[in-house]
Amino acid sequence: MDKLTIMARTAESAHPVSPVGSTAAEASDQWAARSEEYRAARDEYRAIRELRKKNWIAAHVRERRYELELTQQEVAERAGTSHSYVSKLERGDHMPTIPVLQRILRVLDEELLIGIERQLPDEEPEREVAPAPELAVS
Amino acid sequence: MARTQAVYYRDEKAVEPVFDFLDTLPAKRRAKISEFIDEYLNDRAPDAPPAEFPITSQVDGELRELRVRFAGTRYRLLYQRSDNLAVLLHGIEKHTGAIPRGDIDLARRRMEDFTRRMNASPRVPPRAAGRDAPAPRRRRP
Repeated sequence: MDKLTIMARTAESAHPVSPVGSTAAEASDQWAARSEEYRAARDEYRAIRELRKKNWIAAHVRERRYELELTQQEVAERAGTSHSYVSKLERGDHMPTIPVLQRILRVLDEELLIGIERQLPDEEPEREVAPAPELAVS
Repeated sequence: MARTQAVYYRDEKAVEPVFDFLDTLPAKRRAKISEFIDEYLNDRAPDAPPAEFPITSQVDGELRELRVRFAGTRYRLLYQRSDNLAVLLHGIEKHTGAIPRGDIDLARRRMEDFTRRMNASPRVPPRAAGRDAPAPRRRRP
């Protein structure tokens, strides 16, 4: 047992352990200090959080793809679109078309629903949510 | 009252069970959950309602859960507010429909222990609260 541990033990016996443990930031910093992989993941999630404020669809696709460990290239190929399309979509600068978004979400094991809302005077808004219609391939 | 701050419950042996639970997870998952804690439990107005379902939901009385999904896995962190603190009590990977009774009871016991020790006489002062602590109130001149 080293000196520091002994000092810590002595301090604990004099003062009971506080039930308030690490703060969220302390825990996160501790993991970040220990692991390059954790730092990279934390940066990614922080970037996604910022992106979500600008364009939640872009943030969603980026997050889901990251968690399924697919590259933009892989998603593009399986969805029948280009790498640059997926890349622009994920930057949040480009709004995808409904059919392409539908195909990309299916690659991510998800389904696109479309919602429409009608504001009515003095009533709750009416909502309709349904799967995006399929377009016959011409 | 100060803005909310998420903290890990610490038992009498100085073990933080939720920290240890997250420590067993792969780095990406741990980072996601940790950022979720920061985003949804930290720095909220003290009287603001909790983040809405599906982010958080009520489990039993004041006990709530923070719900985090990573790819196909569902994680649940049980927590409870105590003044401005959101105390992280228990963490599980969810497999069944409802949270098992045993896990809820465990979180409850930890919260009872937390409250008892916070109110112990002499009251244990909360330790310095880290860099995400809300700024201390300025003294009036």
